[in-house]
Amino acid sequence: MKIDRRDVLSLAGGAAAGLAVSPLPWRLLGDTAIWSQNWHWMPRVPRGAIEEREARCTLCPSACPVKLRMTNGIVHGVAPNGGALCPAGFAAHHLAWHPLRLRECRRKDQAVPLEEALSSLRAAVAQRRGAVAVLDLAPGRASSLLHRRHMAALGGAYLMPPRIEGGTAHAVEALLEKRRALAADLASVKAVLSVSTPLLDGWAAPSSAVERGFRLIQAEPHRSRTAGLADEWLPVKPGSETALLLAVGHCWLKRPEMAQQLERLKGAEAWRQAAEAMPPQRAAELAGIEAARIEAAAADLLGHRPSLVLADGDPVGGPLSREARAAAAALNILLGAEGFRPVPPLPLPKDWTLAEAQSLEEAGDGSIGVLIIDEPWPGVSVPWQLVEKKLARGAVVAAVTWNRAQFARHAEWLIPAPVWLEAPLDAAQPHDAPRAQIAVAPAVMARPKDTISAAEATARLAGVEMTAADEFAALAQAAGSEAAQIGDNGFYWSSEAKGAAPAAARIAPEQWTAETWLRAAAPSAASPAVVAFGWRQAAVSPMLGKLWQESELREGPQQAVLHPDLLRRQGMEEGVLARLMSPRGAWPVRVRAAETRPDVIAVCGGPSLALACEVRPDGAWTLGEAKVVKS
Amino acid sequence: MIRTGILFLAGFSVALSAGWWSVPRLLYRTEPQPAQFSHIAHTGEKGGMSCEDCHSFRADGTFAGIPKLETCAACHSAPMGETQAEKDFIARFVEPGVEPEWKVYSRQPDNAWFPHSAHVLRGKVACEKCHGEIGKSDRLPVYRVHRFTGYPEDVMGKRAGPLGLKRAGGMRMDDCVACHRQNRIEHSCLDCHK
Repeated sequence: MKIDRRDVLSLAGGAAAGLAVSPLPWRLLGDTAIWSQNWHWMPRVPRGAIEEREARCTLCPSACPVKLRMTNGIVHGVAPNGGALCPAGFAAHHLAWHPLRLRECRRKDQAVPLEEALSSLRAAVAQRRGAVAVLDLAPGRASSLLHRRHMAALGGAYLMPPRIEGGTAHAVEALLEKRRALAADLASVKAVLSVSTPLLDGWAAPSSAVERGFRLIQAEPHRSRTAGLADEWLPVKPGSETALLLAVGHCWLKRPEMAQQLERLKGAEAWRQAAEAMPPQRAAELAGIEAARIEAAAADLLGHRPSLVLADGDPVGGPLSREARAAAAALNILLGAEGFRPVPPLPLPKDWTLAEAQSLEEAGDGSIGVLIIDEPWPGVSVPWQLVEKKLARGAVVAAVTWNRAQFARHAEWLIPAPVWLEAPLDAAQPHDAPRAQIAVAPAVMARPKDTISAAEATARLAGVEMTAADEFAALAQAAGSEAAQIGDNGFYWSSEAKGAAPAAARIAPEQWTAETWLRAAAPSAASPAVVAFGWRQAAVSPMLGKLWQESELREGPQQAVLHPDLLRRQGMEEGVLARLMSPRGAWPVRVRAAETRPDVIAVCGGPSLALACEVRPDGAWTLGEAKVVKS
Repeated sequence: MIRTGILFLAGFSVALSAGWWSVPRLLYRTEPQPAQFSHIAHTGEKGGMSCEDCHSFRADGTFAGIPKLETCAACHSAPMGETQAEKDFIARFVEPGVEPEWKVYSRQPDNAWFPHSAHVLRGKVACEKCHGEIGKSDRLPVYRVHRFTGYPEDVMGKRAGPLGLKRAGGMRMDDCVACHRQNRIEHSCLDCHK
């Protein structure tokens, strides 16, 4: 019997029809989806008895006390321990399983053992053609002191990125005759004028002062979560922050009691001339809001003393301009700096020598031969272009980092760092309370092979014999703590005592003229202006970010927020994919209609958004001339 | 034309029988349990034990699941009866202190959180509702595991029913949702997926 093509097709057609009415293909479809749950790299939830431990979340300066639920050495739940906890805190244990986690030591694209990387770095330090430096992307920690100790031993430099949180306090320190380390004291103020600072959304601790309540005036181009919760939202044009702050000063200059405070301000005459030249009517034209609202804000701050003016900027969008920070600092000095209090320095063992803390902007261009970058947690936002220009030709860059997406892309050596609960890692100093703290989380989970914290890495390079835990214990002993050990629950020490701390002036407004202030008071010429914002802790857990984005509880990464009128004018519809175009590249963004200024596009992003920004000479960065266009 | 129809029907019949009968059986492989176990010997008149005597709740409310060797050894450090199975169990596991690696018929995925305490202690759901009459069995059922998913047949559900497409039994999400709906219990994703 001859079998032709028709026979084969008939048989196959019958078989296909038969299979289609059997459960097999549908069952296979479902089973294959379930199969994807069991791929070998998926983290496994341990089975066994549940243990509970106390610790501190050290992913932000709040250092909230938490309870950990764990089984067989794996933490699977985090809950507040007698207070509140932010959403990132609840998901903080996800960080160990982050899909972007760097898990092996690499030189460019090649895996290398950790010891080989450290030996090569030691050789690079010995043969360096420029300075050795550590760039601490989370300054203000006890680990930062360890870095400074190690750099002193190595003859290297300790660098900090431009300050965002605490930037206003730093500007106040610099403007006061008597320089002291200061921190905002949110627990004591009754009114706050916050300029583009996410005061209620990741800037301050979620409980304490915020629960107590104060009158909040939020000046910001888009209606951020903080603006939505504030008593008053001033939708100012991007770049007009200095004008707004000078106009508030103009309103106060009429009051006789301000004259005495003005004497404390360095460069007072230039500031006074600039403030006099900026009446609320002029500022209102520049900022695009009513003059009466500026006058009301100025009166509010004086009517609810003690009050505070903050112009730190957005942790993801970048710090505000140097002039805006100085203008906010000048207003605080007119208020008697009553919203700030001195912070005691962290105690030090007597035999420790520290390298001077230096701002990254102050390092000479092309001066660094070996750079160690410490990126201990997610959400650190510093444009690479700011770092790059400081490197000498042929410089060796090593990123000691938890992830392979941010600074790891620019470094020659990628050294995996342990994350929260894998090693004794500590929180930074709070910027919303005048408190010095050492908050070290316990190492309760096994750290992946070949991980090393940046403090341990710099200790190895400097030949310091002590482990990081021993160095933390030495700090704790210096603090006079009875429990001077990093125990099973970590270690926490804080001091409310007042003390004087040296602080070098980073800005010098005494050299500025009235024109310097007024030149900085002009808003962005771009229309619509594009501004960046974000929530630093959003990067802790991708699951958390996805939940937010899909539930529309808040803007997620790669979302652009436009006023409905602007959306129409741009010819775009809600939910469509657009492109953020900047001179440094293009990024996809999904547009969303929301309440914002009709001439502003607010782009929400993660740390990588900093790559699209332009860096100004004062170290601040903005999206500048970027545009959002239809795809 | 007739030849084409016959061939079509032949292909249809072979694929239909394969789809309904052969292949679903091939999806599973059988794995042996480390030892035989008679529930009825323990829960029957002679043993007089209840489910909770071995499958207990911890102090924090979590369910201990299959008992550890120490629970077995508490009674069976020496043979209590005459059966060869008991003697073998003591020789292979109790005396050398080797934990038997029992295959769990109800193993759930890691992304699902099933609190026994909420169902058994609070909801008063009988063990048999999900686990059937296992407590009256004289031998452990055959442990069949899905080749792709790694889940036991008791979780995935028996192969499609004899006439309809509905699965018979199983402990999948559909089964949880169906029971919750039947009992008019509010549920959300985060109740089970933490």
